[in-house]
Amino acid sequence: MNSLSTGKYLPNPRIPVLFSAAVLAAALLPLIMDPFTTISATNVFIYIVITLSWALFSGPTQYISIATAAFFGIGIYTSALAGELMPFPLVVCLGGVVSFVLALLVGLSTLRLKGMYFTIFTFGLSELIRHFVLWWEVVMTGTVGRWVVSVDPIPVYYTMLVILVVTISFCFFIGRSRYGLALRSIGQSEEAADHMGINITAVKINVFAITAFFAGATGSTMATRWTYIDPSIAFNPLFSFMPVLMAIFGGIGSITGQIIGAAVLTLLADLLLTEFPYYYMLIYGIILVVVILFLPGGIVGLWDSMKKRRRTETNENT
Amino acid sequence: MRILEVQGITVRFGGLVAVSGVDFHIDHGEVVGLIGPNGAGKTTLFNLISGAITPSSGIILFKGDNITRLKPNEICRRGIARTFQLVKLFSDMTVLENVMLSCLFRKPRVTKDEAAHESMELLDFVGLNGTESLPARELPIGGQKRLEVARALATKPELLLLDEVMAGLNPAEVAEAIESIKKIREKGISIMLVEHVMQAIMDVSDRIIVLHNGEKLAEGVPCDIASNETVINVYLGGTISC
Repeated sequence: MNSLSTGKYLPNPRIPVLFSAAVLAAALLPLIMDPFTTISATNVFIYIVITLSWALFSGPTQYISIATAAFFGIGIYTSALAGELMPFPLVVCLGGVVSFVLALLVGLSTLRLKGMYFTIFTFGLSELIRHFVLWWEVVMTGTVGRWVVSVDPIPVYYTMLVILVVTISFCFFIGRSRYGLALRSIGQSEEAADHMGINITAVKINVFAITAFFAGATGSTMATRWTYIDPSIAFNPLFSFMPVLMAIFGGIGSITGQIIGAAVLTLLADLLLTEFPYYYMLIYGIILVVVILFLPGGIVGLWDSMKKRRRTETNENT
Repeated sequence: MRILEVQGITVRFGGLVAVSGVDFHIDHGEVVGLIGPNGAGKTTLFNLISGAITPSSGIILFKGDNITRLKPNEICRRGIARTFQLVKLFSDMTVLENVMLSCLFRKPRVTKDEAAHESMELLDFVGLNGTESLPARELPIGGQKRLEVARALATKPELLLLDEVMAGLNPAEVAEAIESIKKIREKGISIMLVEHVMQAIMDVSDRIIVLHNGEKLAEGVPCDIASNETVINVYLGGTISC
């Protein structure tokens, strides 16, 4: 047995070290940086979590979901409803659990749909939930918006950091487990995967629901910073589209790519919004179009091809 | 002792009857050939046995248990594996990962190292050693068909359904494939194969079933089939040696 065949399944020893160092640095950040940086970093964490959780399921299986906003929004509303009843960490967990349960139900009814039909259904679902909540608030409770119990930026930052670490670790271990292989096989030939003894329905629904947990927990956390919510804020379709764009931008097939994509685009949006408020969306759109046209593998793909080119050049020189 | 028993299986696609009232069985350790003209229902019959489609009526027993309405993954875990006529590999995964996946979803569980080790042996067995780190799509068609066989064997089947594994192979490769089938049988695995390469099917089969327009036309040992008037008329088109 050569190292090539099995070595790929052993984690690179540098990864845990680098990851621990990054987490430690992130944990110290609020102590040394100003409040604005902390809030900005929290914002980056949100987008990394929803991008990773979207890409964990939709990347390998090629079931393109645009329902992230639904799960995120459910978390937000859980926070609004339960915020006064229980301590903050419990609210966050509850938001995740409610989204998880919703995703299980959605999964059972929609994961038989394939390709475009699945995608359109997930989008329709988010819109349905948004309009249902709006109808409920107007007709049943007689209001549109709600107040959410406010939590300080520092606890919110640390909560998001915990969710982020859990999400990254989960994606990392799933990617290396037999379920990671199973998800990829489903994307390439679902029928063959089924015939190899994989319970494809169970794999799809469970992973889909777990990714919804992360989106829901993130929504519950963030709601406490916004203090006022209504259905069009909580279920903003942008939260469905941003993870897709960010994953494509960074490189859909790698966790590093997804993290870079989410971080760069979030910071870029913040920068453009403050520096060029009138041209913000125009510049943002042009950058996205250029990346999608010229960098099919995202930023990480560009990095890989540069590394390959350098290697061939050194080989030719020697 | 019968490993598979199919009783009165019928399937309709709308108004079209693809398979109509077919009965047959496979004994433990037997190699059964399935032949017939295009559209006779051979692949449909495989799809029925593997659970890809459910029959309109009739039952399928595997080792005495009714498996008629089970899903493909349940049937696979009970011990029936198959290959696909039009290869359905996990084309962006490596050759090794294609085989490892089947090992990893088997009961009882195996570790990753055991799965990798076993997969390498299976790749060796089908003659794909040295290709394990290539993406499956980069294999030539003959290699892809062999990978389908390795992947099916990795599920540790008791019955293996081979759907035209020799189509598109050159004569030397056909000879190798025949040897492989004989070796698989020596492992104690029963085999049912669909094939258009007549010499191969006459050579490896203990018994041959002929399908025509979804119905069973004839059944018997290779020599009887080769000299059967009706079979010659509808399918063979002339006598062949056996």
